[in-house]
Amino acid sequence: MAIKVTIPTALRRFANGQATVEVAGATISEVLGNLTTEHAQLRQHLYSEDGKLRNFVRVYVNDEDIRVRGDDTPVNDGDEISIVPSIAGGNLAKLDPIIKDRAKLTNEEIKRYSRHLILPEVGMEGQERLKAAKVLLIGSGGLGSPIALYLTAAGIGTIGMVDFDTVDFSNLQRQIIHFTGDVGKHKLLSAAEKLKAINPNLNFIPHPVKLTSGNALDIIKDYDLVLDGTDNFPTRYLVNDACVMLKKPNVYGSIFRWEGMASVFAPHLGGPCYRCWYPEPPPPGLVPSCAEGGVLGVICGIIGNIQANEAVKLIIGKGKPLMGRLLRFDAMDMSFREYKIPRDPNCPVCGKNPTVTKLIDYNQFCGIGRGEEGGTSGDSIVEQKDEGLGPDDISVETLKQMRDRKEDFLLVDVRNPDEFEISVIEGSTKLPLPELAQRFKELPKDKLIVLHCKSGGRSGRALKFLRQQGYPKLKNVAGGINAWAERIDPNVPQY
Amino acid sequence: MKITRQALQQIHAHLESGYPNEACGVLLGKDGVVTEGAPATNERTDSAHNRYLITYAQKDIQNDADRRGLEVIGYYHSHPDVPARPSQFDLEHAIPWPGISYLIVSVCKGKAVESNSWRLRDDRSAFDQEPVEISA
Repeated sequence: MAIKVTIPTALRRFANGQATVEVAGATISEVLGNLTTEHAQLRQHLYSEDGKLRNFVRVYVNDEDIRVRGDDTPVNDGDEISIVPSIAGGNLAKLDPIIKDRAKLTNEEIKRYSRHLILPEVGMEGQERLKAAKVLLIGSGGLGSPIALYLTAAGIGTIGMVDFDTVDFSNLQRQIIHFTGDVGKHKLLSAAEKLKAINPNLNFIPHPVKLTSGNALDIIKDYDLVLDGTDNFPTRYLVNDACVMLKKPNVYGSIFRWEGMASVFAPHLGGPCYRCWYPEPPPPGLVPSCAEGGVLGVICGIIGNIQANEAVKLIIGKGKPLMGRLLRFDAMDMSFREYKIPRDPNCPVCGKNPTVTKLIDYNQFCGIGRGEEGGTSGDSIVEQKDEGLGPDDISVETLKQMRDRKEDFLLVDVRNPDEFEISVIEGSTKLPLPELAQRFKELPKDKLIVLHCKSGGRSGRALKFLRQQGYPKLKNVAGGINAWAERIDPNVPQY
Repeated sequence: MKITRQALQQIHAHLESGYPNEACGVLLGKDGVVTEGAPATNERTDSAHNRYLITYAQKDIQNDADRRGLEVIGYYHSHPDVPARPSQFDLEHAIPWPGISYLIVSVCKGKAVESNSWRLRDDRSAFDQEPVEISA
């Protein structure tokens, strides 16, 4: 029985220039065996030395890949066999180092970095690139702390840091660059002291400002790489957009409760950007901040160091960057999962026809205005507090007066039960926000209801919900129980 | 590699339309001159922005070329936003058969900006660049 075999163009020279060859055989392996006996030169191109078909060679009987049924499958008269090479490629496997310059090491530095220098992937070349690198850290909080400490130790020559905040007691559980004695000190001052103590050669550039649409491009433009350690959406989108526009890789990390995520965004290197993944922010309040939901301090070290690790790889141009991939860490399961993030051709920032070509108002974009919590925790860069009272807000001072005058109102605490254990305003009714939708009918409609939470965000959302349910008289305590503790009752702890 | 202006323009248009993903296809022609690019579906849907794969599409492309008296001269693919030189991955996955041209087009911000052609060395150790001669 003669079977028609189609030979790929590149191999026809080994089959007397024929496009198709008629070969006898009852099974696929017989046909291919006879083919390569008749045209011996074909053999080495189709088979490896162990006698197996080379892994890129595909053989089809009519339309079916023989790997489906095996090469002992019988063939019948009229069947056609096609030999086809599979071709693959791609552009990301080998990344050039993003740092082209090299800064010579001193003898003291050679000693300091000896464990890097004997690592073949780093070596003198890589270490000199690290020294030449200028890296910007957005935030000196939970993620910024380990990133700064490790990158300084690793020999990064220049580290810039953006933060406007001062060290607070509640930072110390995770922001390990700051010590107890630093409470009250500007975070950048505190960070500079530690980093300089690790490596006096470090060129540390403080940016003691809030990162805004007005200054972001100017600050970021002088750096080679950005590590985003913010905990709020407006700054995250701001950093993303600025980095896309300036063609700077953006090493992203985020943490919440017992989970963390990390990725590398760099459309100019072929990967996606943050907006390819999340084109728009979640509605304000849907994703709680760490100040609302809590975070295990240890997670910051894990995720921050993944970011530092990716920064080093990008700088020395080794390994496979965490680009187009999102790594998600679950501390309770102690498991890592990887998700693909494809580039979005219609991405408003890095797509074919970008609609966002200059920085925008990111607070507005994220729906954050008065009465919403923009993240007042230590990590946050976009600060919302002290911007005055909204129409539904009352200050803690007003609340105090209303209580002193024994006015008729109901004070409702919408925090989670765990938080009631930390602090409480005496006489409040406890109704956690997650239970509000089921239990709101417990609240009277004819009475003024004054809502509070930790700092005003969740109670603001509770107010909106109750208004939708037809409650006419509602107020929100601006600054929440923490403002109460700070300004009215020093016996109540702040957290 | 010899290629007609029209074929190069057609290939550029195909690769630009695939941006920001990698697009790929087969170079077809006659007497060693590429006269057209046969677009192939990128089978790497999982990672289309930085990988391409053509397997079964080639069977139909090859059969169609045979019917029309054309030969497969090589393969083309885009490198979105990165230079038009083969990556390590390209090297590891090239077909180690003789005489195949690999055209790589750098597509930056959706525009084809650079087209280079490469041949794999017999020992698969590297690619060598070959001139791209454009004919009318």
